[in-house]
Amino acid sequence: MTAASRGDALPGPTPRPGAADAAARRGVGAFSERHSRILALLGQRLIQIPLVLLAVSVLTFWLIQLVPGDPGRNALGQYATEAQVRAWDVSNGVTGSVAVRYVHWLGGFFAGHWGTSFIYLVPSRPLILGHLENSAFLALYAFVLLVPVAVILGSVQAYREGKRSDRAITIALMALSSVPEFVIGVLLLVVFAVGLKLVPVQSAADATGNVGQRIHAMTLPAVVLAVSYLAVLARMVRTGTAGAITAPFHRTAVLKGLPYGQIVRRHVIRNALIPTVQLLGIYLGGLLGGSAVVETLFNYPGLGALLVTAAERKDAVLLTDGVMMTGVIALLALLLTDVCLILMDPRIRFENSES
Amino acid sequence: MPALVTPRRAGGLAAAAAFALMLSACSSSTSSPPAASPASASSASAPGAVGAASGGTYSVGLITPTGGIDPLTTTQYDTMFAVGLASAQLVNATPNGQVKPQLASSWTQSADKLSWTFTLRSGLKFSNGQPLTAADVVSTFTSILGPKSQSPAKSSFSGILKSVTGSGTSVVFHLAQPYSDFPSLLTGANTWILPAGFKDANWINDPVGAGQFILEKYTPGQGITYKKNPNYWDAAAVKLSGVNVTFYSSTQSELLAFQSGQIDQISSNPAAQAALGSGNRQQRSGFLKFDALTFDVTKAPFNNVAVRQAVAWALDRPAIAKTVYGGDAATGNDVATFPDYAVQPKGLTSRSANPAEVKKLLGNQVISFTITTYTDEQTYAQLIQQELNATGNFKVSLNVLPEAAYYANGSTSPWLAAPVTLTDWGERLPAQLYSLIYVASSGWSASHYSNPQLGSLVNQFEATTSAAQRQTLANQIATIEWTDVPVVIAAFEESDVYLSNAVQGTFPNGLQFSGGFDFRGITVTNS
Amino acid sequence: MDSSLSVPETEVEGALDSGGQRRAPARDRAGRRRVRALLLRPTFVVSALIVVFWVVAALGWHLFGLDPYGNSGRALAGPGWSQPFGTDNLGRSVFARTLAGADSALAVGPLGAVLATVLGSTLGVIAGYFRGWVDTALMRLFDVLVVLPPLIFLIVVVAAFGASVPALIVIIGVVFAPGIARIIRAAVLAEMGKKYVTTARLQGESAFRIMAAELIPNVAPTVIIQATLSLSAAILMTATLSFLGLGQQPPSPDWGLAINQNIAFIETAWWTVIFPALAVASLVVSIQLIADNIKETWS
Repeated sequence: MTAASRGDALPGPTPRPGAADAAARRGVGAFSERHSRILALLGQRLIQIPLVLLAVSVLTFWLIQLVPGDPGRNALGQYATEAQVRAWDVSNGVTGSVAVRYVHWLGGFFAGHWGTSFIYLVPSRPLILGHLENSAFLALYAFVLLVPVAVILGSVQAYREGKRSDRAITIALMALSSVPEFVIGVLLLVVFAVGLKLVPVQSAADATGNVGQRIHAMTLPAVVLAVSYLAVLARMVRTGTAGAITAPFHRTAVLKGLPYGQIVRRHVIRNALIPTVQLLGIYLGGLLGGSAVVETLFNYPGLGALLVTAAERKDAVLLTDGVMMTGVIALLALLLTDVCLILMDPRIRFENSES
Repeated sequence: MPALVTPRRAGGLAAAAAFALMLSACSSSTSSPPAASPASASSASAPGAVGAASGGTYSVGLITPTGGIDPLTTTQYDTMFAVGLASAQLVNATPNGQVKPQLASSWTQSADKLSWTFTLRSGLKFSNGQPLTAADVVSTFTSILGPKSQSPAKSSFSGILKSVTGSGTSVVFHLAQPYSDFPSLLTGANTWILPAGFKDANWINDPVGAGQFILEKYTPGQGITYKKNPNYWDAAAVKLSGVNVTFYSSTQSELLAFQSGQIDQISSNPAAQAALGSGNRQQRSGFLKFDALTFDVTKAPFNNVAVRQAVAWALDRPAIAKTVYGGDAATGNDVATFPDYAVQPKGLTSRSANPAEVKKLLGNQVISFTITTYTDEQTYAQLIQQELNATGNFKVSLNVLPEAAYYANGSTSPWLAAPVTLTDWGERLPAQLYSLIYVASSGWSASHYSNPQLGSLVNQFEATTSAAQRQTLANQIATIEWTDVPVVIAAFEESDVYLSNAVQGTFPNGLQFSGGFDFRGITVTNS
Repeated sequence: MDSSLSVPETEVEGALDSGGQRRAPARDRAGRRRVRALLLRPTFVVSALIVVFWVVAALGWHLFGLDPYGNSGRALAGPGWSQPFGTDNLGRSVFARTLAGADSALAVGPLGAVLATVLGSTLGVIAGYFRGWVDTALMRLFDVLVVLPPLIFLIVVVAAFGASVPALIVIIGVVFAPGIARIIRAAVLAEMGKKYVTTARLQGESAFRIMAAELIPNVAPTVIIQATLSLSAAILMTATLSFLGLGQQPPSPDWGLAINQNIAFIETAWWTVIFPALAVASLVVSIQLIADNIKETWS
């Protein structure tokens, strides 16, 4: 098993020019190899992420113009005259060429003043950052509930693959995730908030409440969020773990007589988590950006619901600012998972432990 | 069994938990929404309150405003509530259609009927202590009528009100034509009195008003807190120490909040009715709106009056009142006059579901058409479709648009251009409704109907003060509207509000914008 | 060098054997064997029956004399003999509406998921195989679409282009493809290091042949999982769109729309919400179980 036969067959992002040198350097130790790959990755992404965000902003700003409806008419209602609606549009800066307005917004974005939302008549930046914080808090709560349960369930299933308990858990999780979020949410609300009065209906606890109260109020939406992702994540863990258990290197390691705990730690878990981490990256980005349906249902002041309103009401400034924020988070989450993939790449470790 | 939670992962979880705690420490310092809390002993001690402010804090749920909270431009019920708590009009409407003094204590019509003189109470003040005089009234109405005005109220006064003058406590409204119902116009939307020289936009950032409460804090998308306004002219009668408004994204969230005791009132709707039954007190107060099924009378098949009448005779109006409004409605007779208006038309046949009449008018024809409307109206639209299709003479399909798309601007906007539309209209005078819906050139008329004889009758109606003559004219107007039926009005929705058991007292003027959101005499007992 | 080819060779089903030839079992026999194996599994049978039931309901509900639109006379009546699922606020039979709702559920979801899977898998395999600038370009393109919150994207695009069935299919395909591509790419990258790929390359097989004949069959389980996940996500997404009022038009008995219209009645007329929700859940779960069973008998 030489390095040559492996060639450049390692997973991960594109090696920079000079990959051959990097490969040759492998003999020094996987450690520095891994670090140089991570640095390469970070370097690339530092350039690519702003470009992606720029493309996203253009796409968002342009697409929103296609939504039928007029902000002036939305604001003034059906009794205003045409002339009044037009005057409102002019005074709120929603007329004129899209390109000009976009450039104007872009300039403002870089300069730090992100414009004013004409829906809420407040500066866009504190509005978005505040809502983002709320969404992030909720997402983290859901994350903390979701990941351990999913990992445990998935692993249990993998080790019991094919048996009745595996089948039963699969069906139960699937059934849970197949019911739409809003139905689960309403059912939980009716049972726990209205019926049993265990939690408040409105999940945005007041500012004077302490952490405990806030967490208490946020429990239902966090549970709903966790439940909607639980089945998928457990399934990925299960597939990954099952794949790792049945893989030959696992058999090889067992045959070699390595202690089982070491096998699990070094090989099974790594291979099981690779697809899982990929998925988590996408979901984390989505979760942190806020789930509009859950937030609307529970009246939680999160970013998702805010952006849905902005999209429906054609508030291009608020929407694009918000999408930029969710975009940055999503891209950073993806970057994080790519880094984790490198860190968890079993081939490097595995190679080294053999040679 | 291999350990599945490695030490590293356990550490990771601990890190996540620590992160969450850190985040919460940061989060609690940002402005978070004020919760609508029934237990409000702390806010009962508002400093400097005139009279005993121990009536508790009233909690209201409103749909999240998606537009400016601005007295001059807002026409959404929920936003008007938010403004109305802190503002006041010259006069208010009572639940049975009369006009009651508020900031104005009395009014008279001039002999030539072309001007009205309103006398303000003495010693009126705004919430910031500034005195409220005729100059402020003049300034407010001049803004409404001005060339740059963005206020929808302008359309209520165009062609009627020429100018406003006054000084001290006397305000004179100069009309372009006689209008006996003029005081009612002053209870309409956007007629709250604002300080002279007031800058139109962004009232929410500096909310000055002469209402019963002062707006303390506005958290966008979350809620508003109000405290009692000691400068209100009748502050002694206001027992509440404050009002908490919480925004909800849907009526269903409101219902759930009401059921768990977090808000003190909720507007009635079929779902609330089914859920609440008779366990809560209800406050009925006049009428809110009607939903008009409007035909474009210039295009086939509705240019034929027989077809329009057939639709009117095919509808089961009591079923509409029950299904769409939960029973909180009075059936309509295709005449644009609210049931609480002082002059009701007489001598008209009441239309009700009459299959024989439909057959007589249409024979065996099958009329196909599409009703265009927006999401809030979909129950009513589906019911109309169901009833009409069941007659066998109609084949109705629906086109339900999001609200923003329905009211999109321009003359090709669906609500004005589609052949058949279903649009709601808030409570207004019959003469106002005529000029909006029954006049093709109004710019609001989806019916494109035009009848000069009807127009002159309406003008005469407003010009005269003789009760007998007004009744005769009203009958004639109604007959034309009923016969030509460019607009089918099957029901008028009542204003009906459920109150929690903690609320004591009755609302003197109901709970709608024309009543001025009068909270005098209401108290909330803490549970 | 041969020692490295020994043990790992047998690891991947359907891959090259020691002679470099594609393993060629008696396909027909194996196929029939698989079908029989499937039919012996109770979850497969039950799930297949459920899916068949919904397909029949979607295609043939008018043959059963059901009326999802007419007023039966009693509104908000609970489940009973004449109305097994009760009636809604317009007196319409919930049973009829639930069956007829399968029509719109199956119109968009499956085709959208298929489109997303085909698009995503193809692009993911290409990106994973070629790497280099192709990979980077594709991945950044997907980033743009992944980063856009899907709901916002859907709202804007549906509002702009309408909610017709073809439009929704294309939109859902485009929305789910990038996520699938990313996962397939990761799976492909994991496969790239395996012996059969290196051998195939050394033997000079064309890129297309390697991708089509080697990689895709080996990532097939992942593709199938992604396909079913995206199917269920597509069905739920269209329900969410209807919930936001951007999907099917009233008076369509579409499940998402039915939930939207009746969620206010959940306390007093639970049958108007629960039955459409169970319908969605049963369809989605059955599809996933079928895919699960297929995956297990495949290998």
